[in-house]
Amino acid sequence: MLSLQHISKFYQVGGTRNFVINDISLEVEAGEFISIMGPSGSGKSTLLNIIGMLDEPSSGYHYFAGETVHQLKDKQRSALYKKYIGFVFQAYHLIDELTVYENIETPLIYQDFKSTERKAMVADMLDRFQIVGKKDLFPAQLSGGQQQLVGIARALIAGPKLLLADEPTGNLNSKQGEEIMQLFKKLNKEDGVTIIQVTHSEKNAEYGSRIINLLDGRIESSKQL
Amino acid sequence: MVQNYLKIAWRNIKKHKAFSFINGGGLTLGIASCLLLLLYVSYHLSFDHQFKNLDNIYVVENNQHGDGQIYTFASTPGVAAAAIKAEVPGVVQSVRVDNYGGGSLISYKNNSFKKVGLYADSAFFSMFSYHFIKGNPLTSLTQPNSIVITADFAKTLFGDADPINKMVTRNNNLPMIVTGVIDNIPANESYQFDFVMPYAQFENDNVWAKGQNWGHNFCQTYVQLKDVGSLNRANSILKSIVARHSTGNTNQLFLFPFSKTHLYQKFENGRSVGGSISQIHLFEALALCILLIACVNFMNLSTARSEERAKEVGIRKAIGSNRASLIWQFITESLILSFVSTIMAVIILVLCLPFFNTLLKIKLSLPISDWSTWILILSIALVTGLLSGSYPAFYLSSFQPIKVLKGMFKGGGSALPIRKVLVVVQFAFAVFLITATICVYRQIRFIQGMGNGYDKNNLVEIPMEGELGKKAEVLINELKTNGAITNATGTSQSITQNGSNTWGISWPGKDPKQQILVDIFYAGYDFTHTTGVKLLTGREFSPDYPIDTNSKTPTVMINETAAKIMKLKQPVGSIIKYGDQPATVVGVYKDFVWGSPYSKIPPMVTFCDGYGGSVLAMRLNQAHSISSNIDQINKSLKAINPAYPPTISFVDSEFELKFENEKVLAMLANLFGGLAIIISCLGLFGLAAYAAEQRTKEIGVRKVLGATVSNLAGLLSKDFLKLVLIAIVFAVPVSIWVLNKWLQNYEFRIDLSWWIMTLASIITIVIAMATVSYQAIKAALANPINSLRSE
Repeated sequence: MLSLQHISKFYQVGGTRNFVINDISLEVEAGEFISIMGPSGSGKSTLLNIIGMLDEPSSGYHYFAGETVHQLKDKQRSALYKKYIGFVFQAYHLIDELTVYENIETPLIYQDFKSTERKAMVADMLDRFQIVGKKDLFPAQLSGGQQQLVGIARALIAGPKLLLADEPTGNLNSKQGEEIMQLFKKLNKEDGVTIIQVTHSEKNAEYGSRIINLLDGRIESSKQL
Repeated sequence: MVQNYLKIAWRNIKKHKAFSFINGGGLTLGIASCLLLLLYVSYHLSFDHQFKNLDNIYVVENNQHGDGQIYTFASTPGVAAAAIKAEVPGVVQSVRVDNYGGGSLISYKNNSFKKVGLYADSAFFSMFSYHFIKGNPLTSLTQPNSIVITADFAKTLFGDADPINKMVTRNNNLPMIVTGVIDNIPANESYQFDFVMPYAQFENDNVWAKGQNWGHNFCQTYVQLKDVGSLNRANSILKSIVARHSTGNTNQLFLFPFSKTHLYQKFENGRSVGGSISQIHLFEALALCILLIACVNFMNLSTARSEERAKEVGIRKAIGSNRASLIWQFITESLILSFVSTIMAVIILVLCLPFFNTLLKIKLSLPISDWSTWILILSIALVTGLLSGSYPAFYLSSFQPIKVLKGMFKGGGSALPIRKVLVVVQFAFAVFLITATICVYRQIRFIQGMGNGYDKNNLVEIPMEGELGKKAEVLINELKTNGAITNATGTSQSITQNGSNTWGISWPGKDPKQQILVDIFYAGYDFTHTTGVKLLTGREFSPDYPIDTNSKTPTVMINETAAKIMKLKQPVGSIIKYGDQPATVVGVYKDFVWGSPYSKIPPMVTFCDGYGGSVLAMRLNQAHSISSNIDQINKSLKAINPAYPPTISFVDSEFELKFENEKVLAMLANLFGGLAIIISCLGLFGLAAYAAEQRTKEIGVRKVLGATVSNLAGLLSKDFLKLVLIAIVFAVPVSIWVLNKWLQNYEFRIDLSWWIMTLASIITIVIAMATVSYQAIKAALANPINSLRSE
């Protein structure tokens, strides 16, 4: 599904290059559930952002769904991204001024779905996540776990093939975290969504099918479960 | 998508109430000021513009050479109109109009009203397309005793009855028949009148106006051309028309577009050099500047809030928004705010108009029935929204999502220089407006303080009309006896209104080539005592000297300037000539302001009119209250001159009218300067709040390290003070340049002293610092624990 070859990301500091990602190559097949682990500053989030096209590598080759991402223009990349990728953040990043319903609906608006279609899709999603009763509440009125559910619902609403999650349970207590992980597993198994998550927790990492350990911008180990 | 934008925009507005209030309020004030100024401008631009033939109507101007200059005025010989019609090809019609003596007493049954009237040739109504409610415009003035009245006057006279063919009496003796009723005259028209009479009446009232005299200019002549193409030809014929009819007369006529008479009334060397149009342009610029300031504010405050909005931008980009839709989102937001502000502005405008109208003594109204008004208002809203929203939109939408979401975003860094520039521009403008206000007020005070040469307080004037013309002496004696007045004198014109001058005064030793314009003013007995004009040498006119009224060589008084120009060794007793008529100088009085207080006082010669004249000036007895004096005068007037309702005018308030234009200017500069400053301060307030918020951590740390509240407040204020100082540096030279140019218009003028600039600067600094320090002190007083914990 996607392939990174010799990807590096560095910052020029004075005369030296500060590598955040140092020559990483990675193949991801459709249907995988990958957990990326590693200590703080090892480049986990940067790698995830590069995969998600939110960040650009300094060098290397990036292929996604048959496209050569590193050669695409901004607009094309954005179109590709819209079509295939959903993002879940540690800090949920819901829009404070929008209700649960509207937050979930927003990506559909950007993808030019018709209003009736949107209604059906959002209703379906609310149902599936059992948050119908909360649809008119604002993010500030929800608990962290509930907010993250909305965040995931929003990431999934447009039917992405790849779900990227940056420490999705980082701000949650263990019970809430477990629920989210169960959900991910289910999505991966039943709906065939490819998932890449960044996590600090061994336990959560083990929900995946492969664990990749990063250290100082390199892949230290990769373990198939 | 739009719905989503609208929703989030509205919620944002609601959520940040204070911010929205400052931002929207500033915009509202800006738009309201802009609309008000535009209304004022369009009022003047549309002056005299209601007529259908406007493009082809010209007023005949008269260039008179003398004294090495050309004097231009719109007064022509009475015979000019017919001659122009006959001799100039392309002239459709020509009309004489005069309002001298047009004010008349019009009576119907037992009711009499003193109203303003015009004399005009019968083609008047076919040239000027006044709307006739009743009657025929083409024939309404053909009969010598016809009269056309305005709708309001018709209502006053006849109530709801049909006015046509009703007989009214003019000045108590002349029957006239109503032949037409026209719409009331709009306020923005040069000619303000209640009725129009045929020109024949003018010649009846003023016998001297009859006959073929090309040397006597007394009426306005209007010409309607076939098309613009005829203009050059017409002007070349008109240039010599006077000379052809009257040998030796060097006056030259030319046509000037009637539509321009209101705003391009200034002539130099026989050519139009503008006039109040420059003031109108000034107000247009002011309108634009205020709107710009408001827009700048909007941009400033919106970008200042970028940090808060940055997260939203990041999320939206991360869930698939592209830059264009973000730009549209922010533009939509600013459009909403600008439309809401525009609606508020229109409401404020409608509420403030009556107040503004009384302040400036004009009649502005929002032309709500005119679709172009709404288009203008809508476009102002649209342009304001786009203008003020575009910068924040492009700026905010440029955020990189990943940086924002990771909290690496340092808001405002790149935008700050621009924001600083915007603040500097705003305050430079404020400094300029404050300086202008002070300067205009100082100039008015200066002119007012120069003195007018007579005592305008407790001095009243009444027109000598009807029976009073013959019984002035009776009235004077009666009022003196019962103590209402102490002195009285008859004058040819109000002491506040110049009107008559001549080249025809000569004196012993005058260079025959030298042409000097001399004011001619008639006064009665007791002139200096009544008016308070100071007698320098000789005597004033008095009944004790029969020579004053019945000598073949009349006696005259002259003013100081005349005495100086004539260089008479012994003015009293000298013989001067008015044309061929010799006159003996019996007294010299100190100069007084008859015409414009802004220009030099011309020489003046005063003839004696005994108990005659057209205006009776009276000095009120200060032993009694003004109201009891006025009651007495009214009572006596009603007894002596029962046909005319008494009209008493106070000279001091009439004199004040001479400052009207400058007062309007000062008032507008003051009002809009104030508004501009308020709007700027709203912006500054918001920016200071933002700066304080941004430096919360720094303030916390400093406080922990031992900084005092005043240290911190100073720290925060310093940055803004710097900006205001830069603004002052820019504004001062511009103000000096512009205001010096303005002052050039006045012969007597103040110097732009340094303290005016200093005062304006200090005022601006104080206002700016008061605005900023509120936020600064608030931030400095905050508990550092709270601010440091947020990290």
